[in-house]
Amino acid sequence: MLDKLKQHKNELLMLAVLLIISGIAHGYNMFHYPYYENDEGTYMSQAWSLLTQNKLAPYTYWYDHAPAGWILISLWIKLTGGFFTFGTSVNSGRVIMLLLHLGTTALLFYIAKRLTGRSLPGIIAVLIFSLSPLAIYFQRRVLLDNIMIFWVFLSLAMLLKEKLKLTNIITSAVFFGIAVLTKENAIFFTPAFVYVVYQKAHEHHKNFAIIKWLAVSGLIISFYFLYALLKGEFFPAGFLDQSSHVSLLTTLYDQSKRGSDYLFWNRNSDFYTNLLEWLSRDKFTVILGSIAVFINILLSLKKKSLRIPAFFTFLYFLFLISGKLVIDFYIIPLIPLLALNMGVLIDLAIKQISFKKQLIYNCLSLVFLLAISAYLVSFSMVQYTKDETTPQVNTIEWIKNNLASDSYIVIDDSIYLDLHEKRFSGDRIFPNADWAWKVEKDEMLKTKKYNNDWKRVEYIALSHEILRQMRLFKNNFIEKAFINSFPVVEWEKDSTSYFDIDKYLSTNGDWMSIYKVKDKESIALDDSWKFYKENFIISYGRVIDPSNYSTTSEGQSYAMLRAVWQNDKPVFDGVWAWTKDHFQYRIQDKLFSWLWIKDDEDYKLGDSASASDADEDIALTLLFAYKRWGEEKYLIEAKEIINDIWSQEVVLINGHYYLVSGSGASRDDGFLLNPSYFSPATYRIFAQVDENHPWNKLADDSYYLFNKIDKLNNNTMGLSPNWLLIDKETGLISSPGKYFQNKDDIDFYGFDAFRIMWRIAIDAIWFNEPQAYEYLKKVEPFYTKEWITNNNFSAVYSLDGTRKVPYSNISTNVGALSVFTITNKTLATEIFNKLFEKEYNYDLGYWKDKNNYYDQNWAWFGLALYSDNLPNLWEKGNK
Amino acid sequence: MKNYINILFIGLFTAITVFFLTFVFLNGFPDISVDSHSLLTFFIILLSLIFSLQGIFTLVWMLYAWEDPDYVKQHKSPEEFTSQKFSFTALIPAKNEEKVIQDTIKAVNKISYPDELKETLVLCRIGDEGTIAKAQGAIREINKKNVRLILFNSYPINKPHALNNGLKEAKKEIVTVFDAEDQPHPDIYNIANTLLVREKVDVIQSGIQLINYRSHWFSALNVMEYFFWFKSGLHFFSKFGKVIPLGGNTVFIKRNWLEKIGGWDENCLTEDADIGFRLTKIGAKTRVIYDEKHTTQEETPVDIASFIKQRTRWNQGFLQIFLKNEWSKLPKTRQKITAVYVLLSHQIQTFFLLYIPFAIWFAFTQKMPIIVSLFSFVPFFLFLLQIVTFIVGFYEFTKAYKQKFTFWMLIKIIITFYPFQLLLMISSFRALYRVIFSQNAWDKTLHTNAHRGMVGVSIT
Repeated sequence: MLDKLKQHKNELLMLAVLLIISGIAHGYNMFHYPYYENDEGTYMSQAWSLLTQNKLAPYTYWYDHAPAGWILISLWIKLTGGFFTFGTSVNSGRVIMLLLHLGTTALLFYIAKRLTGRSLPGIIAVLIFSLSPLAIYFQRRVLLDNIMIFWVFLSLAMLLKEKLKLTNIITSAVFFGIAVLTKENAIFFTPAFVYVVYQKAHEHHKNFAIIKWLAVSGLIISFYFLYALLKGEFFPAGFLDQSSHVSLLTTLYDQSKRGSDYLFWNRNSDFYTNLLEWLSRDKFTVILGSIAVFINILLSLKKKSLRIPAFFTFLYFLFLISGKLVIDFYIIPLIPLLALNMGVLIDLAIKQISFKKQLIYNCLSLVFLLAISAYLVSFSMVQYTKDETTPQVNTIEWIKNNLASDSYIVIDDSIYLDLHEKRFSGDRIFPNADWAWKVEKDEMLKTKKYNNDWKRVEYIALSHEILRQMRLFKNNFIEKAFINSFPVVEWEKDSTSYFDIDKYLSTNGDWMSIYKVKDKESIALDDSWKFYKENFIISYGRVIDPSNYSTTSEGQSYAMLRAVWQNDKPVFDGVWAWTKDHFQYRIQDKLFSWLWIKDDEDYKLGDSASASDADEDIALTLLFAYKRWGEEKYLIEAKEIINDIWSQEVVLINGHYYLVSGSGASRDDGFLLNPSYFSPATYRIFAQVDENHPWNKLADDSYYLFNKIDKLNNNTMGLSPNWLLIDKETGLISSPGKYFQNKDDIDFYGFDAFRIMWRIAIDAIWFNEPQAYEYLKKVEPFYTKEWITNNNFSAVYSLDGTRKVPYSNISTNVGALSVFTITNKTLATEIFNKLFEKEYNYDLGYWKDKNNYYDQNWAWFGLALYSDNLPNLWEKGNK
Repeated sequence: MKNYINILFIGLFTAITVFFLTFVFLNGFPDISVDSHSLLTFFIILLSLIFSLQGIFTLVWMLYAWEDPDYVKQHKSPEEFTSQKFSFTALIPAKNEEKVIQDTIKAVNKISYPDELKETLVLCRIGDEGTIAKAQGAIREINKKNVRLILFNSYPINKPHALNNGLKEAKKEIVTVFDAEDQPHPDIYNIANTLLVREKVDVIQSGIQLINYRSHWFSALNVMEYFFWFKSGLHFFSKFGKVIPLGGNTVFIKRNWLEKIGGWDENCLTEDADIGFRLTKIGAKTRVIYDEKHTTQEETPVDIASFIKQRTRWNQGFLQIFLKNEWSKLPKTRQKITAVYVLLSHQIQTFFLLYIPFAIWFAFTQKMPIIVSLFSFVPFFLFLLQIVTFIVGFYEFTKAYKQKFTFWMLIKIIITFYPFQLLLMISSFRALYRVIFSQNAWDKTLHTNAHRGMVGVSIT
């Protein structure tokens, strides 16, 4: 043994130098470049699953690849004491890739030497293989192809031993079997191997050699099929049994159909697209390597030593151009083979032109080696300088530090393990962080864990890969979650990627961001707002009620409220502009006429009188808009309106202020009041803007009125009627029936009065107003009783609590929802689930009757209140 | 005392295995409890491990001849012969061999070696008139002093006794044995002489080869057994184990060594194997050669019954040797291990083959860890490799003996492989039974001279 080493001293020295070069080129900066590819995480997770769960994959193993690759990784992990010895889990994988790369390098050198009998071909091949940016890019990654090519080379090296024994041949077969069990496409090398065995085996045992090589590798490979057979997962589901399960045959069939149908020279074929990428990374190796292969094939007709490298490469070429599916890293096995062909050919060329003079041969060799190395190193330096993985590392850290452990997070495979396994004692894990494409495609996971509801997804750790999957595979499930999410944090400062998030386009994986999927109430708020503005707002900002084609100042005010809460400035500005243009033209004040109607083909003003609820709501939205978007004009406009509301719509009777129903509220003996127009919370905000008027007193007097209503004769439930008449002198309240043509529900609690509950609830939330709580507590028993007795609410009640109509309505239900939101959250949830959520169409974004303008608004207001999405923007501004 | 321990050992091994297999077979598996389930898993792992090792080891020795092309020259007969130094006594024990004895005597006589350096002794028991008459006829025809008939009337009636009687009369330095149906090669003495001179060995075992592979459905496989055993196995065991069981003929032993150990064991059913161990024990150096040109050609048993009888005798003999415990006195540990393996390998192989269908059945019907199920298939895969080895080996055999390899033969080997193993299994169980119940009668193989007519042409 020692003698042998001495005999090959020079070669071993040379190999050591080459390994150092290779090690530096491959290893330097390998934790930072390239970015962690999805598959890297897949194999690390599968190794983890093997070690910790005794399974071949964390999800249902579906025979996508045979498992020898990650079995090796799991052994490596065992050996190195865990997944995080080198930082992230993928880093651990990259260290074994480095070792395998060095192994492949040494084997490449050995193979070249054995094929030609000289060292130069090996040196050239190794330098190209080690320095090629293309090789470095893919060889650093934890990919099965890197493991496979190592086994293929080991198997080949076995057959090139000087004194070939049967045991060597059988060992070669074992290694080849492992290669195929690592990555199936190694099978394409079989004819080349058989050729090598045939060529190299001694006449004496040639028959045994060939047959045993085939039999042993075949038997080893057959373990994969045996595994499936034993698991009952070999035949397609339904073939021998009725249960549904994965199937090796089905997967093989499906895999064979993957990819594009174009022939390889077509620009749309997988091969062509990837060829462009390979060329962009390393033209030298790809082009010159291919030329070398071509020449070697021709020369090998005469020259035997060229046949083996040419044959191996030719077969893999054939696989690449004939297969439908080509993935960028499929190039991996080809790179050392191209390098080998170049090495062998260049050596041959130098030998030819050096006229058998050793000196010339040596000089030329040196020139070539330096030229190749210099070119490859200068071609690209990013692999030594660029940091592409920090965003991914940051993502892991951010999730660990900021999210709850049970969060449902859609992630890349590449960060799965770091979120599922404790990196140190006390580290947090995230069992509900799932691979994006499993969430999308694994029906079991989607059904059982996600209940087929994308709204269960809470966060998306958005990556290049997830975008790519959405773009290519139309992943509806994840796409819906993504559309309904918003970015929380992003790491893309140093990215070189071109982005077009709307088209799901990204060109590099060196960035990450976390998107939070809105809660389902927010989603409903957003979607229904989108539906509403598309279906109810026409022209540049006119809200139309499709039932009679009319527009009211109330409708405009609702749209403005929703727009400012939705942070939808364009719609807000449009509606506000239309409102100003068509309703705010009264000479005496800045208040708004309340009605715009259809007159044959044209539209015209229907009534110039104002409605005080719309006026106060519009003023409030302008204040909110001022805070939210910071434009002074909103504040100025709001102040004018507020001033005029006080002067035109607030009256003082017997020491108490009342908000009358509008500019036309005055009647002979009194004023018309609509109790549901009273909005104490609004007045408290007005008080901060307009110090000239006692708005806070109006707020308090609102409760004074509500208490007064309580004392009406037949009022046993604390409810309020829709309309009232208040005596101008005495302040006594009575039914205004005589002033209404349609008297049906004037005196009842119904389509107007339910809004009182909502407005008072807001006062409770925004100002923590004790009177608000007191009032809501007072009415609560009525609603509770109704709910317990009937499990629904009537749309209209008399003040003694008698149901006046046999039907319910989603708008009037908001009354009950508002009360319980403040007084009893459990009941509120129950009511919400039964009366609101069931009525909501999540796909299209509307409640029940999609043409009902009033219901669409009030369901939205109810939901926003219930889900705590009605912030006091005056206080909070844009926070 | 040691005998009883050994019997106990074999009995226990058999009993446990049979009991275990019967138990699981009868005890409807789906309802099995967790405990017995893990017991089952344990057994499967254990048995799979044992049988995998056995399978691998069998393949290793079967393929040893082809392992390294360098071995080829080492295993072949020498190309040039040295001057004739040693003298040879050929012993031909014959009983009821009137059909073949004349040809044999003539063939042995034809071995090209100076008359003064060789003698041929035909050993017959008084009363076997047919054989005696034929032998006398042949001797008369040859009419040489050095070809003689030795008659005896003592007991027991078996081959080792005949050989010991021959040994008493032997005058030459080297004693060799030919069976009544043998067809030794004319150069065989020169070859043996050359090796004895050059390598200073004490014992030479030359290849014995069954030839008539078309006679019966099991003939081809029987032929292959010999092929692998003499071409490969003996070399392997002699190289790595430093001990081999000698064959029944074409074995050359220095007479003084034979006399030192007191000749053949007359109570042993496989005296040939036994004497190999005993000679090694006292330090004799053994050399194996196998050269297709010089093998002694024999014929396969005429029918299944004689095959089973012959095989039973051998297995029983091996078990006897095992029980005699002589092997434990071999000087080196590796020799002891090899001896035990060789002596018991028939039994192990039997259980190996018996185990395979059970293993498959368990793997598919029992919920065992998947890795255990996969592992339980390893013996089966090795069994498949054995079939492949037999097929390629058969091709090599036909090439070496200038026979035609046909596709039909290939199919035949595949089809008959397991049934043939069943014959071995039966013989093996039969031998075990006979050992346990001490039935030691000699089942003699009947010979019909089939191998001579068939391959006469091909031997040059």
